[in-house]
Parts: sequence; structure tokens; C-alpha cells
Amino acid sequence: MDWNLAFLPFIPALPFVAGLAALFTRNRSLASGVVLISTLLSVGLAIAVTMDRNRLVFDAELNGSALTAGQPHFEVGALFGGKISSVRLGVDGLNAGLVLLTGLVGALSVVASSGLKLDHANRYFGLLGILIGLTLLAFLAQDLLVFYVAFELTLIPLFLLVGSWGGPNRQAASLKMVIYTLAGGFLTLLGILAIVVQSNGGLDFGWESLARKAAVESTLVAPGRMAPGLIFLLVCAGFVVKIPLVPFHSWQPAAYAEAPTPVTAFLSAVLAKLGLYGILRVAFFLLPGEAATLGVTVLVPLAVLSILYGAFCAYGARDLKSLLAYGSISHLGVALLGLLSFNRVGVEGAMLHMLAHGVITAGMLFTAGMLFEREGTLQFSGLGGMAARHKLLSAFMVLFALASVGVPGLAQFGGEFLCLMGFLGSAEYGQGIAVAFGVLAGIFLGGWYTITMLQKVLFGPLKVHEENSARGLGVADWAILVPLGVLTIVLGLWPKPVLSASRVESGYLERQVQRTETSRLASR
Amino acid sequence: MFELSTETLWLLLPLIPGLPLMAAALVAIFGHRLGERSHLPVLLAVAGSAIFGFLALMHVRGMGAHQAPNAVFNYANWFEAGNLRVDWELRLDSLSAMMAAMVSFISLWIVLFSAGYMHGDPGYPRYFAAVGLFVGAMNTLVLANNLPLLFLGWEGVGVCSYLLIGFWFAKPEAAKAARKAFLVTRLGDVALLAGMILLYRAGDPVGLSYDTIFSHHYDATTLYWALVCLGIGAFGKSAQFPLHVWLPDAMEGPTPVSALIHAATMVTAGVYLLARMLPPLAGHAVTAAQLESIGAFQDLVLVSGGVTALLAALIALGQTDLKRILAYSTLSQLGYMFMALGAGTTKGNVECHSLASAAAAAAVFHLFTHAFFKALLFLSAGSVMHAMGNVLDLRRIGGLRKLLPITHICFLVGALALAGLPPFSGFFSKDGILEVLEQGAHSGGSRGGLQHAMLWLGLITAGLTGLYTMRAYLLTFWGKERIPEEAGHHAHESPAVMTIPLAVLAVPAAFIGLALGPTHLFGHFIQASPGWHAAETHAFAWKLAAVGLGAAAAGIAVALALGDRRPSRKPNGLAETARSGFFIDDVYTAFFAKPLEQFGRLLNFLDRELVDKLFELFARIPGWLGESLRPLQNGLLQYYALAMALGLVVLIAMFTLAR
Repeated sequence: MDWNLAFLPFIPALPFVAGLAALFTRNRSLASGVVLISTLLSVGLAIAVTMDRNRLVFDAELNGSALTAGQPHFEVGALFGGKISSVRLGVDGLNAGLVLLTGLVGALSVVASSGLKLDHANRYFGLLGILIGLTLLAFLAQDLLVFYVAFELTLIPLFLLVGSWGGPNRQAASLKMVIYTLAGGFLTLLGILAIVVQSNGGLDFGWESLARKAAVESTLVAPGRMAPGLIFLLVCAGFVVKIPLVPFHSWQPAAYAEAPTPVTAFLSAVLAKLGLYGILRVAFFLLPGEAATLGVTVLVPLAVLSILYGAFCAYGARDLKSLLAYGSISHLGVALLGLLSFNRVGVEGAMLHMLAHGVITAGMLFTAGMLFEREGTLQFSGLGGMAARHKLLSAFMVLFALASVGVPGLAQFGGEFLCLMGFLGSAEYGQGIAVAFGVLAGIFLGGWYTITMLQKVLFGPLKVHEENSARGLGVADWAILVPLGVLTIVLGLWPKPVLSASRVESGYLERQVQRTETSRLASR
Repeated sequence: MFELSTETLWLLLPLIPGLPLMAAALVAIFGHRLGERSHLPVLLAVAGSAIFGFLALMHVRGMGAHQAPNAVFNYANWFEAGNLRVDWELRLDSLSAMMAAMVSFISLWIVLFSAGYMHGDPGYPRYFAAVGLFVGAMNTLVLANNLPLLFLGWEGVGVCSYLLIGFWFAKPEAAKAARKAFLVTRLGDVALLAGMILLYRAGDPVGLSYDTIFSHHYDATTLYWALVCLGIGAFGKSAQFPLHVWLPDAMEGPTPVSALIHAATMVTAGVYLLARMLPPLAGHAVTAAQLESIGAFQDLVLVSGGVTALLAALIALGQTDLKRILAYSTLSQLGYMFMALGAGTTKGNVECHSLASAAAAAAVFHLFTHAFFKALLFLSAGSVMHAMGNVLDLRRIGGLRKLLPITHICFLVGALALAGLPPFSGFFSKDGILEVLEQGAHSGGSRGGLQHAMLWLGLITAGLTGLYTMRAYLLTFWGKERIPEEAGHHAHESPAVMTIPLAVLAVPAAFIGLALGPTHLFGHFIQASPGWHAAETHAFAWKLAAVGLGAAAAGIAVALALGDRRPSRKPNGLAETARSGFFIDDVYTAFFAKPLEQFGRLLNFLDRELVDKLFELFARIPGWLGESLRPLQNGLLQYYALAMALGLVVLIAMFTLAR
């Protein structure tokens, strides 16, 4: 075992433990400081491990090994005497970028919360730390049980954060979020149990061994067992709610609008990706045959519907946060299409798209939060001409907005372009045309609602609200905006590291899906 | 012969877009410190681009007909996934070198002019940062060697156009115009994206480089639809009918921006794209079906260009604002360029290639001369605006030739070039377009008739152009002196920083057509681009030139006859129709923009009120279940313990049995 693999458990543990500790402090700045420093530390550790992983993947490619040969992972003892599961953590091409994103956005959310007026601030920061830690655990888990447990446990701090520190309708919003996500998550649990039980490997929840078994599809389809198609749908259910896709989205606009803005940023930039990530890692890798058939039939229409529906609803939104909520639905539909291409172009593009969307949407929401601190509202009716009063803030908002429109040279373009090329470049003719019209219309509409939003918020005559609101950017604001702004540009000009990070895994998925396709054709 | 080593070129080429981009970054970051000196970095950088562009041009010229088939400089990989690879690669050939040199040269003088024009504006650094970004993006667009990189420049110039139209963002009209320009061109950009997808689907999927596209044999259907998609992108960027509606509104931006972006450079990007694609594709078309695909696409271009040329000229007649007249004249002249791009034949492979190359060369020549004289006209209008307190209403200004003598002469040169009088440059490039249309009309094949009609349409438009141009000139500079009160009492000629660029641009606007047109220098140079059919020298078509000149002269004569009769303020049905742009805007608003907005609001409302409530109904089911199961929850601790133990037993049994 490589020496720095021993760091792996500390990546989620640091913010989690710091969060727990912060719950019992009295001092606000102590609480936020502990959580911030521990999160930054785990970002540092994640960078160290990821660098190491790049070397390992490179070796693995040279040796022509299969899927995850040489993937660093770390096992902590075995639960239940090794019979059921052990806590396996690891970094691979699917989660490396997302782990870094979680750490970064998590840390920035802590910074962004420093300006909030909070009662019981220590609890707020403690819960935020716990949320960050659990999310990191979910991304790092190489074992379905740990993944699922962490995935569900994130709901507890999230519920408390939204329900206690959110806007006026916080309780209804947080309750709705929990009910939805729990209902979806329950179905996912059934699906995961079915995969594990039916894969004839006893109760091995290890993802890697399951993925290897998935190559032999017949194990799942023995007579008298749950149909793989049903399992696929069950597994997807929880993730589809988490992304969310239309029509399973109605918890999301309320939750985004009511949550404290830094929490909304974390929710949108990171937790929504957990849904896409789950679909990719669990549903697609473990059920490649179903993914290529049933998955395409069911998920492609949902993705296109989400793209269009989200865009139209975003245009109709009356405040900035719910516009971003609907916009997120629309954007993530494109990423899902990329994943559904099952080729390297689309899957790698989708990985880039997820990261880029995380960076940009976090940037948008943090700037929105700063605007709220200064103007006291995010309703379009109360904003206008802000570019005259908040020059630098507006410049950053324009940057993030243009990036989210998909201007090349900025982060979103590469991912969006590759998702389109991957999916439409290989789609069958008829389906391709229909999807192309939907997606391209969606991309146009994305420009439409975003540019209109800029016009409403930033341009035109100045609407006067709070006096003294014209203060410049503080240190905390710079600390948030500069990294995100720089990443927005760097990911646009040099997306290569992100794309190449997942090439082994996406190549594996491509071959898997092709193989099941061929065997299906042969069996006919 | 002038020649640069490959290493020198390798270093020099990326600096053409790179220098202005660096200057833009510098001004964007340190603008508040630079203040009124913000123009300096951009000016120096653009001067550098112009010099390097000129050196590159000389290099290509030095190679003559022996141009390297693909002088491509590959710097690094931009992004790569699976079989799709896109590189940072630049291309040096006649077309790209000419465009880069022209863009940088004109930008240089416009930046200098802006330093005077924008003096004292609180957004001074922001202005120059955006202009620097624009020049960099435009040079990227023309030097790119693959479609995604072209798209980077394409969207980059679009963003700069957006930022600069909305430069005075506190004005609601400016904010609205900026949004409109962005969205209408975005519609075209999405089509361009679709074109790239089609080419990638069918083609050699290595990065959408020009050379891989040109060397692939696409099937006729793919070729047609890919071209149509690229064409729609070009229509959007170059404001061709039916996507022309954004350009007149774009005049809300500062006037030097209108000169640079909305007359000389960005709006010609569509012409550049089609000139880049069509000749090599025509040369590579083998089967009759492929030729038909190209021909059918060219017909589309021809009709769109012809309609735009005529329509815009008619609308220009109804305008009373000098800047809007110039905007519509830009539309009309861009229409000419698209008409030229549509000239061609389907008779045979060689004929198709040869005529498509000549047609593209004619279009690019008009692009080239138009850039000089239209930039000159817009800057002159800017100079007038500067003196007149931002008023350009021809009902309120007039007789300015004594007050603004330098501006007057420069505007006159530009106007004569636009009207198409010899020896001014517009005459020769417009004549070139009429010539290729005539060749197309007489070359046989199925496409002759339409081109014949377009030839006539071009002649009519030439007459209208003479009329509205001369009329605008006469009303501005002749007749009784009229100065609006906004000008104050000290209306005067602009400072040297503004008149020098005017004088410099007046020289090429006057003579570059004569120097490069009848001598075939331009045509031979451009058609030496790899993949183009080499130009054939032929005699000057005197007859056609005379007819074209006659049309222009007739228009000018009418303008002279009308003299100082100002447009009335009373509404008049026909004039009102022309002034409104034939109500095309209103049609779009009523049938496209408004319904979309309404639908968005409706969907948002339904989502909040209906879909949400429906799901809340589902959410109640657990509650009802809970009601029915309540007896189980009896509060007895032992009962719970028993339940837990039982559950545990079941779980363990499940796991053990499953093994």
C-alpha cells in the first residue's frame, strides 16, 4: 500500500470530526475556523492522493490492465467480521474531480457563511462540516453500502441546515426535500440490495468486484429473480430525485430558494452531482446492459424534458435563486445525455461538465449571496442597474453567466460540446434528430434566460434600495470569487487534466456497453 | 522575395491574437490604476498585431502560387476525449493572412480614434479592455485551423459585441439592444454547433480541422445540411435576412464600436466562414449529387443575400438617423457579399470549383474594401456626433461642411466608395460581384436563372445605394447650416487623435480597389489559398461595369435632384413602413419572443402551483399509512425492544441464508 493512501480516510473524517467538535463550541469564529481549516486540509490531502492516482493510472495503462488495477483504496477493518462489508475508500477517475470540487466548494461555503446573520452559529458551522465530510465519504466510497449510507446521511445535516437557518418557508421546503429524497433513496436501497444479493457473490458490497461481475451479465437474470430492468429503475430512482430530473424535481426550487445561500451553493454545485455520479457508478457500471437499452429509453426523454422544462421555468422565475435552481435542472440534463452516450467522448465530457457546472453554479450562487448581503433582496422586481453600484461583483456575475451560457474558452463549453458530440455523434438517426432539436433549443434557451437575467439584475436604470449598500468586495469575497473565476477560465482553456482523469473508466464503460450490445445481437 | 523562417512564423502567428488579449487582461485587471491611459496597452498591442499580421501577409505573398498546402502551426491540445481531438492550431494562408492583417490594421486606427472619442467616459478602461478582447478574438477566428477554435473566436467576438453594445448599460435601450444582439446571433451560433455535430458524425472525427473536413467525402445529404447549418450561423453573425434584426439596434453602442465590430470586422465573419468552406468543398465535390448539394446551398445564400441587399437599401431610404442609414447600408453591402458567395454552377466539377473560388474571392474582395470605407464612414459619423452633441438626426443637422472640413472630405470619400463611383474602391469590388453573378448566370446548369435575377437585383440595389448614400451625405454636409442645441456654442472639428485615423483610412477607401482590383492582385493572391482554384486572368468586363456605374449614377442624380428637401416629420405610410424595417421586428416579437416569454412564465406558474401540489398529494400517502399503523406505536418500551430483536433475527437470517 502506498504511503499516502493512509491519508484517504482523513479526507472525509477531518471535516466530519471538526464539524462534530464545532457543535460543542460556544464561539462562532472558532467553530467556523475549525471547520474551514479541516476542510482545506482535506482538500490538500485530496490533491496529494489525486496526483498519486494520476501516476497509477498511467502505469495501469502502460501495463494494459483492466478497470481499476492499481487503484489506490484503503480498507478499514471489516464490519461484521468481514462477512458483510468493509469500509473501502478509493480515488479513481470517476470521483477524483468531484472530491476536489466538494472540498473546494465546501470550504468556500464556510467562508461565504461568515457574513450571514446566524443564531447558534456554532451549530450551523458544525452541521456544514458534517455535511461536507459525509459528502466526501459518499464520493470516496468504493463500496455500495458505505456509499448508500453516506448518501442518505447527508440528508440529516442538510435538513437541519435548511430547516433551521433558511428563509421564511424553510420548514415546508426542508420537509419536502427530505420526503422526496428519502422515498427515492428507499427504492435505490432496494435496487442495491437486489444487485448484491443476485450477483451470487454473497454479501459483497465492493464496487470493484461487482463491476467485474457485471461483465458476466447472466448472473443477474437467473429465473425467479428480480428482473434486471426493474433493478435498474429502482437504483436510478433515488439518484434521479437527487439531480433532479423533471418530473421528480418539485422539491428542488423551494429548497434552493429557502436554504441559506452558501448551503444552496453546496447543494447545487456538489450534492446534485451526487445524483449523476450515483447513476454513473452504480446504475451504468453495474448494469451496463440495462443502461444501454432501458436506460436510454427511459432516461434520454427525461434528460431532454429536463433541459427544456428547466430552461422555460428559469425564464419565468421571479428571483435569482429559483432561476438558478431551474437552470441547474436544465444544465444537468445535458450532462446526463453525455453519460448516456456510453462512449468516451460523452462520458469524459460529462465528467468535465459536472465539474464546470459545479464551479460556475457555485460562483453564481456566491455572487447572488453577496448581492443579497448588500441589497437585501434577490427578487428581480427589487433589483436593476446593479452594474453601476457593484462594479466588480457585476463583472464576476457576467463572467459566470457567460460561462454558464457555454461561451467557449470558459469552463462550461468543453463539457457541453463533448456531451453533444458524444451523444449526437453516435445516436441513431431518428432519435438523434429529435434529441438534437431538444438539446440545441435548450442551449439557445439557456442563453435566453441567462442574458435576460443579466439585463434585469445588472443593467438598466439603478433601483435604489438600501443606503450604504455600495460597499466593495471584502477579503472573504475575494477569497471566494478569485478561485472560482480563475477555475472558470482555466477549465475553459485547459480542460485536459479533467478529461484525461476519467479515460480509463470511461473506456471501460464504452467497451462494456459495446460487449453487452454485441452479445445481445448474437443471442437473437 | 520576403520570407520568414518557420520558427519565426511559429512565434509570430499566435502573437497576432495574443498581444491584444494580453493587453485586454492587463487593462481589465489594472484599469483602475491606468485610468485615462488605458488605451495605451491596447493601442501598442494592436499595433504589434498589425505589424505581425502584415509580416505574415508578406510572407504568404512571397510564396506566391507555391503556397505550402497547409501551413498549420499546432501549439497544444485544447481538449481531447475518445476520438475527438481539438487543438490550438493556427493556419496561415492567403485568406487568413489577409483577414488578420486587415482586422489588425483597421482596429489600430479605430483604437486611436476611440482614445479621443471616449475621452472622459467613466468606463474608459472597461471600453479598451473589451476592444482588446475583441481584436484578439477576431484574430483567433480568422487564424483558427479548426471549427471549434473558430467557434471560440466567433463567440468571443459575440461576447465583446454584447458588452460593447451595452456599454452604456444604464440606458434601457442599450441593455435591450445588447441582449437582442446576443440572442439573435446565438440562434445562428447554435446552428453552427449543429453543423459541427453533423460534420463530426459523418466525417473523419479528428478534431474538425479544416483539412480533415475538406479531404473527406461527405454524402450529399450530410453535406447539404451541414452547409445549411453553417450558413445559418453565418446569417446570424453577418446579420442576413431573416436574422438581420439585431444589427440596426446595435447602433446603441459607442460609434467607434459600430465602425469596428458592426461594420468592418465581426459582421463579416459569416462571409469569411463561407469563403473558407465553399471553394475547397466545391473542389472536393465529385458526384453530381454533391454538386447539387453545394448548388442548392448556394441558392439559399443567394436568396438570403439578395433579399437582405434590397430590403436593407429600401429601409435605409426611410431612415432619418445617419448612423442607422449606415447600419442598413452595412446590411445591404453584406447582402452583396452573400450574393457573391452564392454565385456558382453545377455543370461540372472543374467549373463548379473555378466559379466558387472566383465568387468567394469576389466576396472577400468586397469584404476587404468595404471594411475600409465603412469604417471610414462610421468614424466620420462619430466625428459628426462628437461635434453635434450626439445628435445624428438628419432633420436637425445639416450644412456642416464648413464647420467640419476634414470630416466632410473623409465622409465624401467613403460615400463615393459606398455608392460605387470609380475610381473609389467600392466600385471595383461591387463590379467583381456583378461579374461573378453574370458568369454564374451564363455558365449553364440549373442555377442560371436565379443568378440572372440576382444580377438585376444587384443592379437595382446599386442604384438605391447611390441614392441613400448621396442623400445622407448631402443632408449632413450641404444646405443651410443646422446645429442642434445639444452641440452647445462651440461645435468644432474633432481633435487630431480623431482626424488622423480618418485621413489614414480615407487613403485605402479611395484607392485600394483600383490598386488591387483591375490589376488582379487581390484575386490571384486570395485564390492561391490551398484548396482554391487558381484565378484565371480575364479582361475587364466593361459592359457590365458601365451598367453598374449607370445604376449608381442614376441614384446619385436623384439624390442631387432632391437636394436639401428634408424628410418630413409627418407620418407617411410608405416611409413609415420603410423606417420600421417592414415591421419584421414586430413580427418576431409577436410570433417568437412574446410567445416564448409567455410560455416560460406559464410553465413556471404551473410548476409552482400545479405540479408541486400534485406531488404533495403523493407525499400525503405516508401520512395516511401512518394513521392506519398508529396502533403499533403504543409507547411500550418492551414492545419496541421485541420488535427490534425480531427485526435483527430476520436480517441475520436473510444474510446467512443468502450466502
